[in-house]
Amino acid sequence: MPSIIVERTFASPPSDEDLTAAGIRERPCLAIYGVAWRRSLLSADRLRMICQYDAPDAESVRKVQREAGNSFDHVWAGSVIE
Amino acid sequence: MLGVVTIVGMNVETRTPPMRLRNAGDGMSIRLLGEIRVQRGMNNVTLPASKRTRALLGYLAATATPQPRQALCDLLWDGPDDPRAALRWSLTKLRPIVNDDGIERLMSDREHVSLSLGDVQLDVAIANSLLPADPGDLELSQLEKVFSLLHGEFLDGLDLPSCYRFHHWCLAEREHWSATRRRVLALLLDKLGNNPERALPYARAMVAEDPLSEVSHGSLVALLSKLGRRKDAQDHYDYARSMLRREIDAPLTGDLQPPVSPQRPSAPNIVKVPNAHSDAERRPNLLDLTREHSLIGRSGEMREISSSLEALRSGSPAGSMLFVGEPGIGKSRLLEYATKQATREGARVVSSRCYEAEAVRPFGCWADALVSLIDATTDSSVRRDLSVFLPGHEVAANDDGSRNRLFAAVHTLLRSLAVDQPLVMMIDDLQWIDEASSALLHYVLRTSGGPGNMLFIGSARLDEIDENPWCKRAVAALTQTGALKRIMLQPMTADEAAQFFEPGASAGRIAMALKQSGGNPLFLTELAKTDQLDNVIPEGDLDTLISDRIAMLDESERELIVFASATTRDFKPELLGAAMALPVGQLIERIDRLERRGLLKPGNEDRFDFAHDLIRQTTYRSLSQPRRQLIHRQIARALEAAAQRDETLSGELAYHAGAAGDHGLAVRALIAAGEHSLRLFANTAAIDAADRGLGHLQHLSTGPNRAHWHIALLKVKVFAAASPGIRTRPKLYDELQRAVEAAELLGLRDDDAALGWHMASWLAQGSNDTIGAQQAILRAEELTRPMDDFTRCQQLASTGRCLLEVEGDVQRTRIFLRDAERLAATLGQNFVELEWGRGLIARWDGDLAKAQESMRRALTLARLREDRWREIECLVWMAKIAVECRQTNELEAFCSEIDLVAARIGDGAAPVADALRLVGAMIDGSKVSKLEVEGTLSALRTLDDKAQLAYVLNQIAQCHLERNQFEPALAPATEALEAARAVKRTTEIVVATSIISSIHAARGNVLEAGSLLESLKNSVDDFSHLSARAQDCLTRAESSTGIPTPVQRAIPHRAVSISKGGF
Repeated sequence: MPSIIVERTFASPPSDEDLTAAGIRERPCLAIYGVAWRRSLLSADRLRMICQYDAPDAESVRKVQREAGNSFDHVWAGSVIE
Repeated sequence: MLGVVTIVGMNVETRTPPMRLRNAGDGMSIRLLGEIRVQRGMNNVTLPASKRTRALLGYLAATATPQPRQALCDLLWDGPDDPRAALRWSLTKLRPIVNDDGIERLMSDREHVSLSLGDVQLDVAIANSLLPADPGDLELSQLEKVFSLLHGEFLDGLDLPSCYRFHHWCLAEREHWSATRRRVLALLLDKLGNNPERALPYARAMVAEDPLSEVSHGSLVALLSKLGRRKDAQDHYDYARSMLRREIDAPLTGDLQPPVSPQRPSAPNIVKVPNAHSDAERRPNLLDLTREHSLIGRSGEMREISSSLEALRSGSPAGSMLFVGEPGIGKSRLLEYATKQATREGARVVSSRCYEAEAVRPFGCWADALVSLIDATTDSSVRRDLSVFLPGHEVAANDDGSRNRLFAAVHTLLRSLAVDQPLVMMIDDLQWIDEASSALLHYVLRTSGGPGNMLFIGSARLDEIDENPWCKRAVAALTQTGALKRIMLQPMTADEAAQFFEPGASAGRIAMALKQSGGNPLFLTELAKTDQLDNVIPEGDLDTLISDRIAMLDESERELIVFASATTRDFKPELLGAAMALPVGQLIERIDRLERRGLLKPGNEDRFDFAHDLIRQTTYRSLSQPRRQLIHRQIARALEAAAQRDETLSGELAYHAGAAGDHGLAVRALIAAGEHSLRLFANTAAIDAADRGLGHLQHLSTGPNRAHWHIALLKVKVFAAASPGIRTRPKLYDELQRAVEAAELLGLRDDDAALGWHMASWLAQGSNDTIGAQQAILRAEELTRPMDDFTRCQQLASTGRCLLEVEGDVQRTRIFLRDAERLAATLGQNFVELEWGRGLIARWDGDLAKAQESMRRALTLARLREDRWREIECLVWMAKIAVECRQTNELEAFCSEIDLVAARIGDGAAPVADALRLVGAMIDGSKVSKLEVEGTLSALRTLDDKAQLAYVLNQIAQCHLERNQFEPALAPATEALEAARAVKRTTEIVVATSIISSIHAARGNVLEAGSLLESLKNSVDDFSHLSARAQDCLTRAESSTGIPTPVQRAIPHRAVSISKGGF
């Protein structure tokens, strides 16, 4: 399954509750579109975030974000180098 | 590449042409099609006996890329032992096989393993290099060369159903190579239209490859008829008609026609094939001969048996023993000998055997052995405790039993039986024992060396003991404590080998047979048979000799034995009768004949078994993958009803359903098998069943069934993990959470979702995540409370629309949307999602005018609410509907609006609008440059929107096809198919396949076209609910190929109202 990256920026730092609520909002859509959340990285100043998903294509992840009302800057397919 | 491939021609009409990869000098070659084989020059290299090690070699060779160690461990050693150590051991075995002095092909570091085959001839790589994108361009001789390479199933014999990841990968590869073989065969038959004699072997191969294709059978009957073989043609016609009617629930299409008399009465150059039946009858019955032989050699082993029986009779501790050796070395014969001796001396013998595919029937060998004894026992408590072994038994929900109590009950039963009469317990083929049976065997034998007055004798294949951790552990532990003695069976000596031959056989021939067989008694028996007839020692291994014997059977006997070879264990005649739709009388008569030939033997409880498991394996390997699937499907159907009454059959049903590619049935059966295993306290088997079920689940589309089954499988894993026997809790929380949320979204609230949250709470608690546990419990509680109508209506409409977009479950979508409509009417509200969903349903049904109306209302609502994303989505759908109506002016208007809204919300350019605009230009017949098309598609690819990409590519391909531009149509349709498969969009898969099929038909490759449409049946989940657009494309493809397929016949005809004829 391809890895899809979502880049987000925030005007003001989101609280833990905000992030949890965003996660809860998108969860139901993940199943329908065949998307699985893998991990997220939040910058120290809480203004930038990168989320990694497994999905059949980038558009499925975009749809999940939009259905859930979660904002994002870019969505792109990539590969993980470890 | 071509220069090193030599084709050995065919000489027998009924055989497919054999293939050999020959290397100049001592070069290495690896063959993956057929049984995996490594050759150096012309010599075969002996491969490790371990199946997993051979599978590892096949996987590394086929994938040809570095593989992470962890991935390989997950693939083949996903068990309780140390997988990394097992992988290291296998790599150690493979290095001397593939590496040479100074050439290290198998390389590994801490993280990765790779096999570099730059200088090695690999059959699949050669086949791929010979096959161009369109094999139709190949000359006849080239096609024949390619076909000779495609001989045999991919990694034949390396079936590892317990390694479900490898199993599914291997099945997918087999399907790929089977499809390639069918494509090449279709082309060969097409090119050999004027040469029926040469075409005949290929027609037979086609029937074997694709037994459900009426066209294939029709071609064979026509060829036989052309060759003047009217009786053969008539026989095949009768057989094929009856089989197809039974298998395909629809009238035949007419491609299979009765044979017609040729204008000339006979063809001059027909090779006369010997009458198989009479020849087989004439030959002496060799396996029978083995049975009639007194046991040859084995005097030491017989003394061991006699001495143990003597000890048993005198009440002294009897030494339990385990005979080990290679297949065919005579282990089972020694058990038969021991049975006769023990019975003669007045002992009670309880015997059973383990079967390879039986891992999800916990206590399988014990249940078989004990079932009659449990019925007979008068001890009510033992009877109650052991009743779980009886077929159809239900365990009470509040049963407080445990595995220890079960084991103690078995011990008590055996001890009580042994008081009255010495008891001999025998288990054959212990290398396939399941975890639960192994634990019970260990318990019984270590408890005071077994119940008093009892002797245990077992047998196992030496090289496969280490493959099965349960067998390995039990045998190691029992031999270490002295409870079991391992006795290795040695090959026959020259004097012993001579006793297999008639007295007049020459010493030279016996020596040659001994060398060829390596002293294996079963092999010697087969060689002795051929020696009697021909006074020569034939070349070939034991498999070849057994294959020749099977090939000599008549059609009816062969049909029965191939069905029997697909069973996982000894079989009941009624099961085979039901699977083959054969009347009891005929069935018994055929079994009787096969028994007289020494191929089958009677077993316990009115069952029959193969005289030797090698016969089963060899027969099964002779079947093509599609034929195997067909047989497994028929057996699964026959088992399905019985499994509902007797859940001990669930594991068997799951095996057959999985092998048949019926993933839904396999998942259901594995859930039942997992639950049954839990009731038998066989938690390892339960986890194994659930893992296999999860493997099959991946093949199913999103929808309520999948969500329900997902939770049921996870429930089995969670419950199995709740046992103190499992040391570490599985990391299931994330997967369970996803499954529960999907169930919740699909409306499975009260049962599945609430249960799932309760399980999630338990798992979170176990991980010391108190907050997570509380949240899960609260969610479970919320689900059981009623939801307000407004929220419910929105959720129903949104779920329905989403499901329809991904083509998840259209029937369920209709229900959701109807419920949402009713609620919306009560509330006096309308929602974007509801109108959007209505529009998509109308488009699905082919009512494009109604679809446009609903989408227009959805668009208005989205604009009113300033919901820009939904506005763009509605516009894209309206543009697509305009494409399908061929309304290019409207299309252009919608594309411009998409651009405007996208610019307004800062998304920049909208590649989808550009792509749809391009389609519009092509529909209008405007000149569009290649560069322009590539640029537009490239933007869509970069966006990585595979669903839209598939749609646009299909539209482009269709535009080319309508103008008879076949070459430009093929590439976009092929790419569309790949993209659609990645995102599982059924409609685009069907449309792309239909276009490719129409291209083949237009080029005259009618068989290939038909075969593609047939293959849709395997790649698409539900053919009874296709969209109108997909149905329309199929109908066009049918009319262009002239081949009505079972796929199309399975679809009820429905009037489709597409205003204009676009795809």
